[in-house]
Amino acid sequence: MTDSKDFIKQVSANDKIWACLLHLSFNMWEEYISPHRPFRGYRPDLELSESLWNDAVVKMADKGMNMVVIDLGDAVKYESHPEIAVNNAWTTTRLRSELEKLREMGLEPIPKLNFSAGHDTWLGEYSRMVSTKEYYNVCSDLIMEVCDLFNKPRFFHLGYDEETASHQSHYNFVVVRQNDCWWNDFYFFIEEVQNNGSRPWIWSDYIWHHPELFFKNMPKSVLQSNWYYNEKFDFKEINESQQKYVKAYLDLEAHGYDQIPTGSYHAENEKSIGNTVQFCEKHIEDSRLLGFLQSFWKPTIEEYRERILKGIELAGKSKAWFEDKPSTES
Amino acid sequence: MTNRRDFIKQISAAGILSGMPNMLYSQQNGANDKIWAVLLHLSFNFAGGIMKPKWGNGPREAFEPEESLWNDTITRMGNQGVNMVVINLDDSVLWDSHPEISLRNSWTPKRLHEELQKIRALGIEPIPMLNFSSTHDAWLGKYSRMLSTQKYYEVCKDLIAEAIDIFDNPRFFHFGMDEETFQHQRRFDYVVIRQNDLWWGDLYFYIGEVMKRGVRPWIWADYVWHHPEKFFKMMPRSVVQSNWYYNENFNFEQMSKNQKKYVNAYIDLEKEGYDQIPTGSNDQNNPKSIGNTVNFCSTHIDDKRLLGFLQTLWMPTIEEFRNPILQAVDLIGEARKNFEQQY
Repeated sequence: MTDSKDFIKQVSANDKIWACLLHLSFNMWEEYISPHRPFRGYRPDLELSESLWNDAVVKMADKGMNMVVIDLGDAVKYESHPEIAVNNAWTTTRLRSELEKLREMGLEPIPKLNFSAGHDTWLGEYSRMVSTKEYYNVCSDLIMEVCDLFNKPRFFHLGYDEETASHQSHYNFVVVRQNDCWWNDFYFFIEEVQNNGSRPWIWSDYIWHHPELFFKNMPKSVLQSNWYYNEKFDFKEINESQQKYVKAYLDLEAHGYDQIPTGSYHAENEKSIGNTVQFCEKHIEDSRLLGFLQSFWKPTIEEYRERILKGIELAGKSKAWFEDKPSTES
Repeated sequence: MTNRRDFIKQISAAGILSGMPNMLYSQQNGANDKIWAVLLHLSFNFAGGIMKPKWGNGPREAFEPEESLWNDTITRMGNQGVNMVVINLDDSVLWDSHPEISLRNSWTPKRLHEELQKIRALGIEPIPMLNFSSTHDAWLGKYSRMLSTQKYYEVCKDLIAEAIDIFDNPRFFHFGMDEETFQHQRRFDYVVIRQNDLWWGDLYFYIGEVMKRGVRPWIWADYVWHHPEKFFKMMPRSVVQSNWYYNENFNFEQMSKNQKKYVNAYIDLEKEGYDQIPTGSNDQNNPKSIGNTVNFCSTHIDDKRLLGFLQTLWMPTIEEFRNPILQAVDLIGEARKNFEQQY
């Protein structure tokens, strides 16, 4: 078995992370199939095309990706909490063997469980018990089990994005932690991850709405993935909100946070990841720019084969550009 | 022990009470008699999540009502012809089923039961209220963060059953269910809102728990303001509706768009055939609220669907609020007298 420490040794210190986010579970939104975005509504069965999954990870390796962030959610029959698993969820044995396969392909697997109250439909009944003793116990159990399954992964992505009422406007059950309640729970998650030997990684969008609080309270030990999926980065050509999203990269850099900027190919935004790489390479100091993450925001099913494979290709092209660019060193 | 049925029997024997004129109001319980009710707070933690200076900042941890005011208010109700008191119980009872949610020094069920006897003896029908709206359920303690789970349903079921038992099968059970919106919780540290079918599913759960014990459900009607079509499609007519509008002005030409919506709800509920207990208040320098509510609703709601009226105070039962609380009782008493002179 290759554990994560051995694997890291194979990657030279100066290499950047070139990651794709792949969904084993996609149960992170409405608890039902809402007409406004039917593709993301709750599904009680595992919806995964294994052929697409396999083709996607092969393509990642071919295109020079070196990390895959796996959104696990309820797609694993956890030994600690099998009650949250969807029908036909992967067994822990199945997941372990998949992780081995990925490592052998040169892809470092990183677990993701999104604990945002706006994206925890996968937690089943526990998503209706946020910030209770039962909830903390379950989350603690899951983080521990996942860290074990992934052999103490280098990072653990906690999600923690978009916890607002407007992001849950179509949900049946809306939960939003605010103020200290959000931070207290966040510290709980950080501690759980760190106690299991991994580095916490989150989406950074809390900063857009609460910059002062963010910089006051956010530990630098937490890896930041700000995200901006538009193709334009020229401040003259983007609106106020977009400027805020892009500026977050600069503010995080100014405050000394480690970053993995994130692009996507979920819409007509082919240039998102490439332009993200170009912008961030210019504005984030090399030692704090750990790498880049490409996302697709579609379930791993055949309907989205073309999009997912093209998204990987776009990330590969961005990597090639990054590696071929003229060195800025004298 | 006097239970509700015994109480009604006693009422019908009004002749024996001729020496107690104030009690006669509530005991002339003929078909046309209206309910003249006041909402009194044994607990005020329905507002526990709401930071409002006059309501105190954050949830109470100990039983709060001052008995001197409580007693004087009940006595005043009896004197003013108030024939029903809706008691907001929440966490101010040391529930046998769930003592873990109770405030320090809460009334024991025995103490509450004795109080109900006293209230009935004054000609006042006591009605329990537990507000299950997620905006107003801080009193549920840890269970307020477990809504719509198996555990939550068990706890609510237990509390409803116990309250019904303590109240000897009351005629109604008020379970609030108002203001469950983000706007109302926007300053909470912990926001939780049930929407769509989940809100309705939980409402039906409460209705079922109440009705299977022979008690009629009663709620605040403000859901109709925002979702009228859904409301009229889904709301059973078995549920007594208390729409509420606390402004004094009922002249449509002088009202804002929102105020028109609130007042129109009385008319819409009437059109759709719901039984109503319209609600006024005396919480914001609005002494004419209940009187004008009575005048407006008496002319717009058919007598047989107009079960009566409810006066609210929205203040904890403490000496600091003695004057507005007693004034509120006087105001509904006055409204009743005016009503009876007119009709």
